[in-house]
This record gives sequence, structure tokens and C-alpha cells, in this order.
Amino acid sequence: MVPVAAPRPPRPIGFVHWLGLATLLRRELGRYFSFWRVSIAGPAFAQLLYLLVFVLALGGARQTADGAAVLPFIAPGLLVFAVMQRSAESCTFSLMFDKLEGMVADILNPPLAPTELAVAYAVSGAMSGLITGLPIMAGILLFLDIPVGQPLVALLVAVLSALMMASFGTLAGLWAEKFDHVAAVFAFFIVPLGFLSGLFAPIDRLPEPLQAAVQLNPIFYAIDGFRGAVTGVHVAPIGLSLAVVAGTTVLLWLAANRLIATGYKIKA
Amino acid sequence: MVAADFTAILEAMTPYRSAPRTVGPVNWVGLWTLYRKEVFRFLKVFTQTIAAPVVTTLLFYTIFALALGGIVRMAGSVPFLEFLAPGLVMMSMVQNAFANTSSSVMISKIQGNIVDVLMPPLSSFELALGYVAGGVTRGLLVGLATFLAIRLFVPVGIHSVFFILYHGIAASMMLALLGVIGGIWSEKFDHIAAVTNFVVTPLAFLSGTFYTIDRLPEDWQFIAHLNPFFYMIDGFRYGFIGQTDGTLMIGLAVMAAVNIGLWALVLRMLSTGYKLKP
Repeated sequence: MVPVAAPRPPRPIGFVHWLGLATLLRRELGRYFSFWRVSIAGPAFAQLLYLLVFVLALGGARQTADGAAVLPFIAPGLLVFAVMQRSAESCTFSLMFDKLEGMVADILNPPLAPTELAVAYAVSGAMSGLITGLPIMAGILLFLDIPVGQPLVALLVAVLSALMMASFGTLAGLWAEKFDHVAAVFAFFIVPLGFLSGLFAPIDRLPEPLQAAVQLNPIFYAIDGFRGAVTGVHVAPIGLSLAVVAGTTVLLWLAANRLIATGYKIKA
Repeated sequence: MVAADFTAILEAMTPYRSAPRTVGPVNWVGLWTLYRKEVFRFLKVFTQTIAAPVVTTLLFYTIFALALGGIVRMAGSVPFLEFLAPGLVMMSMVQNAFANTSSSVMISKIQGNIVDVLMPPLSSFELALGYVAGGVTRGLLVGLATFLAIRLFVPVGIHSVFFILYHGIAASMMLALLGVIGGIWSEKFDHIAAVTNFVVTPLAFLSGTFYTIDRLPEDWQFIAHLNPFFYMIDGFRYGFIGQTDGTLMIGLAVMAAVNIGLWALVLRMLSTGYKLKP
């Protein structure tokens, strides 16, 4: 008789499966870093290019007709919007890719609870967005002299905005069936919402009905709150912005959590 | 015995075999087939390839109009809004012409179906022409759609149809050729994304679409004049507003020269099989 080793006892998993959570986070971030040309260098370069074009287009006059300084206005908005866009992209593209390649089983089979999956996607998406923001922030601080009023509040708004869009991205990734859908979400939804959220110009320049519509848009509060924390100039009170962004984050994350739990478009 | 049977069968079938199609100096059928493939390829996903660029350009137009001071501002003797429109139309045209050829070549290479265009009896010139014509078609369609969309909001007049057509076609062709070169050179999507992010977009953004060139410091003005994108946007804009930053005749010559150079490079790459044939 060949001695048979006793089977290894099953690994006990506590209330939270920390090892699985950490592994999924590591995979998501590894994926993000392996595409650094597209996920880090590209956005950084694009945002700095926007700023450069504004510097050139404005020429000597760094102020608009109503006397507001333009670059300190635009720079924080561009930064936080780049963070948000990347956070959403990270989750959407990751889920879409896994679904198309049939690899989605790799995240469904391990003993990870739906809530752990939803947390991992939100956190990894937010982290990749924030890391993408770092070189942009460095570039802005290098070229523009913008004193940061309340750095901690700004960081809080940025983290919440990133979590919000990561949750949105998770939802979009679950919903999309092909890359056409993903491209449509970004081209016809996120980018227009962002660009028309007072990213480049104060919203009082918009026509009246649009101004009211913009105030229903959570991305507007993210941009306005972040800019307010950095420059002290804001339309909505910063507390309100924080509340709206946090509330939207919770709602979107709960929805993502629910869809993952019911297996919407990922389980047969 | 067996060999004899085959011969008999072949002889019996001979009347029914079609003779090899004769291909003249130009393989028109092949060229048209490749062109049709290239055009249907982008029309099939027109929301991404036509509608999305139009929406993005309109957004750019809106935000730059809002941010840069609105209606009162002038660029030279024309309102800034009229100055801005042709440049944005041109930018969307060339970016899409580039995207069409580069992505087509790139995806075929990655998926391995590039042999489907290399095997048929198409010469290097016919191959290049099929791809480039597809890219130019997309560029012109996007340009037309963008122009009509902007026209809904701002009355942009037409000063010279010749300059609009010449620069519209020459610029789309130039970027379609660059797209073929980029697609052949790239080995993965990262490479082509890098070409788009770090070469095409900066050259387009810094071409004088958003500002008159005399706003730049002296040294920069010289550098801006080395950018072919400057001439195509300046000439194209002249066709609409009748005002120019540079010298019109130099612009026509630069576009022709750059196109001839790129054609030569593309034909050389295709005939030597650079990164396409083992």
C-alpha cells in the first residue's frame, strides 16, 4: 500500500475573505499598470495638452471678460474629471473584457461573496483613477501657481468622486454586451455630462434651462466641490457637493452590488 | 491506371472550368472590393465612427465658445466662433481618417486576417489606394456631418470651394497614409494608441485651430510653421472665412509634398512587406 497523505483541510475563511479580496484587487491593478501607456501616460498628456491649448488660445489675457482667472478655474476640474473618467473606464473595460473573453468565471468561481466583488471593483477602479491623477496633479503644480486651499477636503472629494464613477463603471460593464455599448456610454453619456458640468466655464454662462439641468448632475457637484476645495470658488456649498457625491456613490454601489448578487448578465 | 482516370475526369470537366480572370493594368474588381470592405467596416458601427466624433466636436465647440469669451471676441477680423468652426471640422476629419486606416491594418494584423488582403492579386499601389480611399471617405463623411451640425448653430459662410475641397481631401489623405504607416509599424494596440496620443493629437491641437498664430511668441511661431497640420487647417479655414495666418500657396505646396512623401513611404513598406510578410 502506498501511503496516502491525509487531504489538506479546507482553508477556513472568516467573515471577510481577505485573501481573495486582495488577490482580485491585485489582478485589477496589475491589469491597469500593464496598460500604463493608455491608462496613465495618455490621460496625463491629454489633460496637459488641454491646458496648453488654453494658455495659447488666451494669449496674454489670462482672464475672461468678467475678470475670472481661467487656468486656476479649469485645472482642478480637468484633474478631477480625468480621475473620474479613468475610474469608470477601469471597471467597465475590465468587466467587458472578461465577459467577451469568457473569463468572467475566473471571478465568479472563487469563494468571493458578491459584496466582496463589488468592493474590489469599486476600490480598484477608484485607486486606478487616483493614480492616473497623480502625474496630472504634478504637471499642474509644476506649471501653474495654484495654492491649494483645503487639501484634505479636496482629497476627500476626489476619493468619493472616484468611488462614485468606479461604481458607475461596474454597472456599465455589467450591462454592456459589446465594446460598442461601452464606447457609447463614454461618448454619449460620461464625456458630455462632464464637459457640460462647468468643467471649462462657469455654469452661469449656460442658457437658463441648462443651468437648472446641470444642477441635477452629480458630476457637476464632484467638479464644483473639488474646485471649491482647491480654489475657494464654488457654486454649490461644499457640504452639499460632498453629500450629493457620497449619496450617489452609495446608491450606485448598492445597485452594482445587487446586480452582481443576482448575476445580471454574468451568470447563466 | 489511376493517373489516367484523373486525366480523363479533368478532360471531361474542362468545358465547365472558368478560365482565369484576366487582370488588366489595374485590378478594378479587387480595388473596389477592398474599398467596399473598408467603407462597410466603419459604416457598420456608424454610432462610433460618425455620430460620436460629431458629438465630441460639438462639445468642444460649445466649451471653447463658452470658456474663451463668447460672441464678443474676435480672431483677426472675424468672430472667434466662425474662426473656430473650420478648424474643429478639420480636426475631426483628420483624426477619423487616421483612426480608420490605422485600426483596420492593426486589427487585421492582430487577428491574422491580413493575409486576406495580401494574398489576392492586388499590387502595393492598389492595396494602399483601397485603404487610403476608405480613410478619406470616412474623413470626408465625418467632416460633412460635423460641418452641417455646427452650421445649425453658427452661420459659417463659404469663401472658396477649391480650398475647402483641396485641403479637405489632401489632409484626410495625409492622415490616412499616416494611419497605414502607423498600423503597419505597430505591433500591439499600445503602440498605435501611443502614436495617436503623442503624435497625432498634439500636432492637431497645436496647429492653430484654437488661436491665431500671431498670438504665439516669436520662436514658437517658427516651430508652428514646421507643423503640416498648421497649413491644412489654415488653408481649409481660408476656404470658409477668407482670412489666413500663413501663405496660401506654401500651404498648397506643403500638403502636396507631404502627401507625395508619405505615398512613397507607404508603397515602399507594402512592396518590401515590412512587418507584414515574413
